[in-house]
Amino acid sequence: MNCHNVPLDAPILKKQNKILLMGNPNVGKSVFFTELTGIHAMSSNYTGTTVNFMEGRITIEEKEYTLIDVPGTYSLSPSSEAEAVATRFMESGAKAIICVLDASNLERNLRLALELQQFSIPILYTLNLTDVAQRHGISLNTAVLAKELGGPVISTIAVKKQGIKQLEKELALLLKDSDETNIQKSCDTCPFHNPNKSDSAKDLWARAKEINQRVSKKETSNPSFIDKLGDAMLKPFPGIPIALLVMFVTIALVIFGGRGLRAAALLPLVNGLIVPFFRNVFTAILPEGIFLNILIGEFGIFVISFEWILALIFPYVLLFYVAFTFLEDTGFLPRISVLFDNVMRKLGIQGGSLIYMIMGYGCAVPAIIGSRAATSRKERIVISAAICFAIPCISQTGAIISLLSAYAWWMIPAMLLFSLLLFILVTLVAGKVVKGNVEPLLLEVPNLLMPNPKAYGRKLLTRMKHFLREAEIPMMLAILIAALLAESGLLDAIAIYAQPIVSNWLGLPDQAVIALILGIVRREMSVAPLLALDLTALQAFVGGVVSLMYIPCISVFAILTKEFKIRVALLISVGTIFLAIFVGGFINQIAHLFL
Amino acid sequence: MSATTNLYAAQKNDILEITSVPKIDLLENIGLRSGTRLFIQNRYACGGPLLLRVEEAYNVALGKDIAIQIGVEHAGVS
Repeated sequence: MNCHNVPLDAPILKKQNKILLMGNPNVGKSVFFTELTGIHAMSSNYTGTTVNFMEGRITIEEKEYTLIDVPGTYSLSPSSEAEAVATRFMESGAKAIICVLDASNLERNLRLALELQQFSIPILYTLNLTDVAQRHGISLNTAVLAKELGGPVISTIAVKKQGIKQLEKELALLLKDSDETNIQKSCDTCPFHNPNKSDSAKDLWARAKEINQRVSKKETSNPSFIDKLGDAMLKPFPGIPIALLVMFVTIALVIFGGRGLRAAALLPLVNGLIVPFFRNVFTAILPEGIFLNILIGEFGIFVISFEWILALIFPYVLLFYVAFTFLEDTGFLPRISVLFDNVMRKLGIQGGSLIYMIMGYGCAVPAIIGSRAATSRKERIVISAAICFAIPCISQTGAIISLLSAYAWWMIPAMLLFSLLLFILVTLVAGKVVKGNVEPLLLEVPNLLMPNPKAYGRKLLTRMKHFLREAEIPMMLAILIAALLAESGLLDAIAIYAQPIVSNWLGLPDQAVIALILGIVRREMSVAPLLALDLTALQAFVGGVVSLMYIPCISVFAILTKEFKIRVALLISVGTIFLAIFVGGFINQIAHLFL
Repeated sequence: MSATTNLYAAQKNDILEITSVPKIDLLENIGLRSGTRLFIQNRYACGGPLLLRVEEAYNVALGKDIAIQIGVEHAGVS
């Protein structure tokens, strides 16, 4: 790697006033970013949460700077796409670096700090997670560390906002000094370009070890309850039973809690208050006709948008993220990656992929982006294919639960089982078809942590806001399409052409074609219209199966195109349509032989 | 110090010192390099990974395919 192959065309790289937040993965960089800029960056208790950079503006001493939350990296010799982003930022230069060090694991963190020093950019060091270090009996001398590193060191617990004010103060001083000394930055200061300036990896490790020995003292400490639980969750027993129990409780919370919330609060609110309100307003001011029907008719925007978004999907999305955000912040996800790695290897991928697949149950888009932390392209494609074919997003899951729960209790577990079988099949096939290697598991397992209530609440709120913002426009678009098709009579015409597939093969009513049309816009829309139809139990199950496997929504298609090029996006999308219709019809035809 | 063996074949809870590692960037970057001390905390069935406690500071899960390529020697009992 050298200075000349840096893609300097990216505008963010050209900015001169950058301050880079750098550090090993999972040391709390995104928490600092949130505190310093006020922009909420997602942070979780596992490596690879930030796979692309985030930028925000901060003002120090009346000067404006761009703070960049750089993806965590162990070294500047990148081993994943996400780590390569960090290297690119270092090569582009900066006004200053805030180097976040994990106080509970200093030596390895110091190695990166020493590597960063070779760029001659002023560095402010923050010794974060000092509470965890203390819990492990580690005490650190920050004054000696500052001397060894030749720069200011601040002790922090970022999630509790401890040390943030001091950090801001020290950063201002550092930037002032930097302006006064006016350090010349050019290719000559870059160790990639100037090998004489670069210490070997061996030297860096030796120096990191030496500094760590000088500044840290470890006393024997009794492990806390949370440490003991964290260790127990990593043992096959009781780790696997605990993991299965947690997953079972999460599913039960989403299904039963969602149904309860929907029935007790949201349905009465929507049907008893919101929809009648709009119906009264519009009937009072508009004459009868198509326009009024588009607003408050069968597929009326002011009827369907509240019924589907608020009453049908929102309760499941909320409860899923209540559970998922908690699990993500505790460090549960890397633990199940380790426990089930042997099973995942049999499927042709490694346990670390489970993290992204579970993320896919929330939304496919961040899951596919998150897989950038995976070490091979093959692994990323297999993960993305499994998510698109077999893992319903939470909005879609909510709609499927609403659809099936009206018939028989066993239909929901049957659908879960079907989804699991499909996941196994798709992963096996994709693993065989896609060329390349899947690297063995190599994953740092974080300490088990109890989430900070404020940080947890803020993250949950951000996720729900994001869901409502992201879902609103495509859903409104889908509902408008539905209203126009229904009111213009076009739906009936399309239904006649689609009859051989929808009615004859899938055994669904003709009008179910609307679900296949709207499903292209949003995944849950491939189910929601079915709720309004008078379906038999078999038709509902077939409808659920088709929806589960049906084409990823427009956003997923866009992200597949961006991450893997259009050929892969088209292959996955066309594959899902064919497989959904084939399998749905197959189940219908087989069932009719026995019914 | 005893004779060198591969990490996957080593005993659980024995303190081990790495003597050789394959050329994989992430291994070195994560701190698994010659001279690193560690012990096997957990071993998982059916060719599963090893859970390592590295330098008494952090845990790393390591797949069998890499573990068998890492040379270690016995350095005590944890």
